[in-house]
Amino acid sequence: MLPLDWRKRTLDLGRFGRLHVRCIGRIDLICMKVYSSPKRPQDREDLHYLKPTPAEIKTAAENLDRIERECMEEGKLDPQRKQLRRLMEQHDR
Amino acid sequence: MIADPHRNLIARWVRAGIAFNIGPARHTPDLERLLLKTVRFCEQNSRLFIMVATWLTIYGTYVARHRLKRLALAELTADERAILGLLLESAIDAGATGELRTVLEACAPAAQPRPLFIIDRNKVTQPLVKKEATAASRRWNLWIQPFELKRNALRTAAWVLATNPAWRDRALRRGDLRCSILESLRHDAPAGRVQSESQLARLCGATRTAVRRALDDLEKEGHTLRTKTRTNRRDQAIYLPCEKPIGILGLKRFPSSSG
Repeated sequence: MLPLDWRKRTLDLGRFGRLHVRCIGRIDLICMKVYSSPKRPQDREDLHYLKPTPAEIKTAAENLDRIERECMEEGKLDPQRKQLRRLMEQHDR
Repeated sequence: MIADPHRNLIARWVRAGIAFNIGPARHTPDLERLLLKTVRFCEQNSRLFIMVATWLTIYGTYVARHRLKRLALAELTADERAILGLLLESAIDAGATGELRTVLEACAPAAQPRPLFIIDRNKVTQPLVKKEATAASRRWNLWIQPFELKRNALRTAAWVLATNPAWRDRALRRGDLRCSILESLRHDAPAGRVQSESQLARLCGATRTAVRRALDDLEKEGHTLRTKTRTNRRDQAIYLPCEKPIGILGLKRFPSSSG
């Protein structure tokens, strides 16, 4: 459910013993949280604190379009789109 | 995503064994008051609600039930008691000890049906949450969607007890009235002392007869809490003999904790 090329945007967190840890980038985190937000209140809260910009909201919407095209029935991601519209309204306020 | 004013609260849960990404509090928390504070805050933090419900499924027997019930009645508003009721019932439904139902007697559903979490009180999310609300959350008039327990984000019992040795008493007594007596003396009675069994009964939220039996049981464990200065047993002062947690006879006594 992550956008394409998410690996290229990962950030280095460092080496911990034999582990080399990277974390996903902000836009990929936002997209992931948007996708799961209808089912998880903690992701809705995280999105509220992350305050996505209009450009990030647009990217998340495009990601939903792609997921729907590739593997979902049409309309299945409407709850996610409603969350995005709400985030955009919040931003406009 | 932890707001600063609530870092102390979260740090206490870290000390209790929940793996939030901040450091633990310096002292072992007063578990019942920690639950009250959690109830006041969890409308703003769904992750905390989910993690505490998960914690209760494993460590719910550490809770001094009679004391929690008494504190809930004395210190929470009716709406906050509804949140406590939902938290405990969600935990029980997910596998926590049914003995926690004792506390539910102090709780009633919220006056107005609504989503529990503030983030859901808007025209987009509210209908969704209402539609998918769990049966327990409908009963308490505080809608939440089904959630996944996060047991892999909890420390082991060995870690929790090594970090909070005072809780060994709670674990061994499974949060029963003996536990409420000891915790009430430790946290609620000035200088760990009360003047009578009746006063202790009021402090613990239990009947005097039940308190007397529990004191008898504690004496059988080897802990004399009643003074012998008066002839009338009813008027005997009851005190916590030392600052140290009281272990079951024959087990190691652990260093003090507070906070």
